[in-house]
Amino acid sequence: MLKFTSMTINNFGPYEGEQTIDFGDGDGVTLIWGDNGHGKTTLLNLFRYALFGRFQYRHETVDDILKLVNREGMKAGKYDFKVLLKMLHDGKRYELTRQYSVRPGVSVPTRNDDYVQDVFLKVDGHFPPNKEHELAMIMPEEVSRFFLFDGELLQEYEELVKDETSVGDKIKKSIESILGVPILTNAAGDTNFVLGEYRKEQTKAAQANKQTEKYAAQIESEAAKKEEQTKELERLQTAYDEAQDLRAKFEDEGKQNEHLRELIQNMEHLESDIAAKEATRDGLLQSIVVATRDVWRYVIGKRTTEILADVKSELSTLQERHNTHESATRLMSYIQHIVDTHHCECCNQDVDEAHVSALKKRLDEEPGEFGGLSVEEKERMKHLQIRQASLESMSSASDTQVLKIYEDQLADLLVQIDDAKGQLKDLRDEISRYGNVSDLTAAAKENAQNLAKCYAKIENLKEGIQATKDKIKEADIALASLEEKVRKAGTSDADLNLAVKKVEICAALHQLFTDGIAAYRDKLKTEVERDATELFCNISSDSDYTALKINDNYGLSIQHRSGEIIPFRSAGFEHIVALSLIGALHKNAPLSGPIIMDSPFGRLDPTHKKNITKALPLMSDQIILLAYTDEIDAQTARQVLGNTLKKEYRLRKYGSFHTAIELQ
Amino acid sequence: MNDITNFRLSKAANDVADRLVATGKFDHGTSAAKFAFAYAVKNFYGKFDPATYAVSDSNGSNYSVGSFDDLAPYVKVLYPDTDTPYIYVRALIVFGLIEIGKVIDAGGMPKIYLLCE
Repeated sequence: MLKFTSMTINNFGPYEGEQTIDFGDGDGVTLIWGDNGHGKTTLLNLFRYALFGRFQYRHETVDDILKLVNREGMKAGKYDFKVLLKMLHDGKRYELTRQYSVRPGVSVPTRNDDYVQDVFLKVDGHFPPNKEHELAMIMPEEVSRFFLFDGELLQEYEELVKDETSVGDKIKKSIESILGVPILTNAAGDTNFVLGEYRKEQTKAAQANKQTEKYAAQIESEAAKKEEQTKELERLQTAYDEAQDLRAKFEDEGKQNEHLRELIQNMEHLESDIAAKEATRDGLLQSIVVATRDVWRYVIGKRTTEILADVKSELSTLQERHNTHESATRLMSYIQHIVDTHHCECCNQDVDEAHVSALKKRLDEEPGEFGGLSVEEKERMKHLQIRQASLESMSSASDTQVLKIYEDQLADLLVQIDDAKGQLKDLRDEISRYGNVSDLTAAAKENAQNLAKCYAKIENLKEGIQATKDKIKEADIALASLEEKVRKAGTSDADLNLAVKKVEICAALHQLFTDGIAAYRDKLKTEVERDATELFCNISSDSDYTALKINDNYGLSIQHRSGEIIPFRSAGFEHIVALSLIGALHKNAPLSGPIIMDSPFGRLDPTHKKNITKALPLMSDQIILLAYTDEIDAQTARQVLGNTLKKEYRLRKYGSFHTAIELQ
Repeated sequence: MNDITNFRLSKAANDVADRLVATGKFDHGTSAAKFAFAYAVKNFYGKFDPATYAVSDSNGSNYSVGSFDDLAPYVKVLYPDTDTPYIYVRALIVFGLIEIGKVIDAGGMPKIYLLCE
């Protein structure tokens, strides 16, 4: 079992400086959290780069080395980068370093030739003589798709359910590789070659015998025909494989064109959405500007209102005293009139001397509270009256309600614009990776024409292959008949008998391997079907889906409780089936290793996410899971994984070109 | 004492005014300055004495007092004893901007209506 124990990255992609992720030696799951654009896919690709020296982004291999260097490092003049992957395999410790260094004499690299790539492999502290062979033994590239995979590409496994698709063919070959089928197919090929050599010897021996020489001549002629047809078959087969590769390429380009068109459409929608939101933002800002132009009156008004209340209160006290004095003065004037005239106008009667004396006495008394305002107080009152008038003229009818509404709307809008711009940047980044998109329609048209030609060529080649196979079969029948005649006619010839015997044994051996391949395939299919079903039933929340059924391509279909095959399965279930297949392949493969998955939960509901998380330790002894925040609930993941969760890391972005790997 | 006919803000106060204008919510430095004046009166009237306030420097923008004519009546009402209202206007604007700057530094740019309450 291969295990990754640590990976150290230096100045690569978004990872500035030297950073290490420690996976430890034990079994279990390592969770690496990171939002979109924080470097999850880069991390997955770094495993691929370290192991195979190839850096792949989605379907494309990145050829421009300068694109791989950390931008912050570049600014600081660091152009070298490297990855150190430490592994454990069958008790041996492997240290694999892959690095790009700037060629001596080059100060600032501008092209791939300015770099030198070095690969170092240490096994238990020693450098093995053939490192590529060592690496191929622990992790062959042709099976890497089952160890390192991007959740978004799991839909490819749907191709296995269909007949004769180029992607399906490739995956089938990979599946047979990981399951060890090539050991038998190679053996069958080798025995077939030896059988051919023995047949030549047999023909030679028959030529030397008088009784069989005429058959030998015919055998030679038939064998020559067969050889010619076999060469033709090989040529056709090669052409067929090339055509299939071309078809895969065109299909992929077609999908990418389609995907690209979708991306461009999304980008255009997003751009117009942002433009509309920005127009609304500008409108809101204009309204806010109008509101803030006068809002100071409202703010100051809060204080002037308080001052006005104080002024009014003081003024009221003075006014009251003034009014009381005025009333008292009027009364005193009336009393003085009575004293002067001894007559009361009010009751129209004369007043006697006794009453007049009493009134005189009253007039001579101190005015007391009726005495009126002092000169200062009168001044104060005048001043307060003026102040009151000023303050009242300053009162503002406006308040901040409108401003509040506008500002709250603006805040929401700014968040929406910011989010949309983030999405737009991601889209533009993705689109920019496709290169020039200006002539997309023409490219799509050309692609469709190429694909149509390719389909026609493949059909022709298939017919040619079948016709050639038929001719080879005819030659084989003719040869078998002639060989039978040789065997019967040359029984007394020892050399001929020996040659015949060798052919018989080798033919039986070849047949054994041929039958073995078929039997082994059947056995593998049964076991993969069984293990995939077990995993599927663990993960699936639909109790009516009781089994998975495998076809000749290792494609899996879902079987209903009633025995019927589910004709159209959802994207989510497609995902679950693919994960079940990968888990089953790991269980049945002679080669076992870790599974590293990038965003594998995208299309799934919370129940299935939880079930898959729970099933992860069943898929492989070591799982490294790259997930964006909330792709799965962190608490649920910790709970269901329990002590099988070894470590958690977070990819934290501190800048466009600086992501730090932090242990949680 | 003679009142002023034009004045400069301090550098620190001017920076705060620029930050307020940069939000797009104030059309000009004078709007931000008037708002700061009101902010100072609302929150510091009675506690802050514009008569004795020493503005640290004059390295900010230059304004004609005419831009703040509408503030002078308030000063006359709020500080009836003063005969130099524009010196008070300048002091209150500078002080108000510095105080708003403290709020921004402590918790980021607030919504303007929150400064009004």
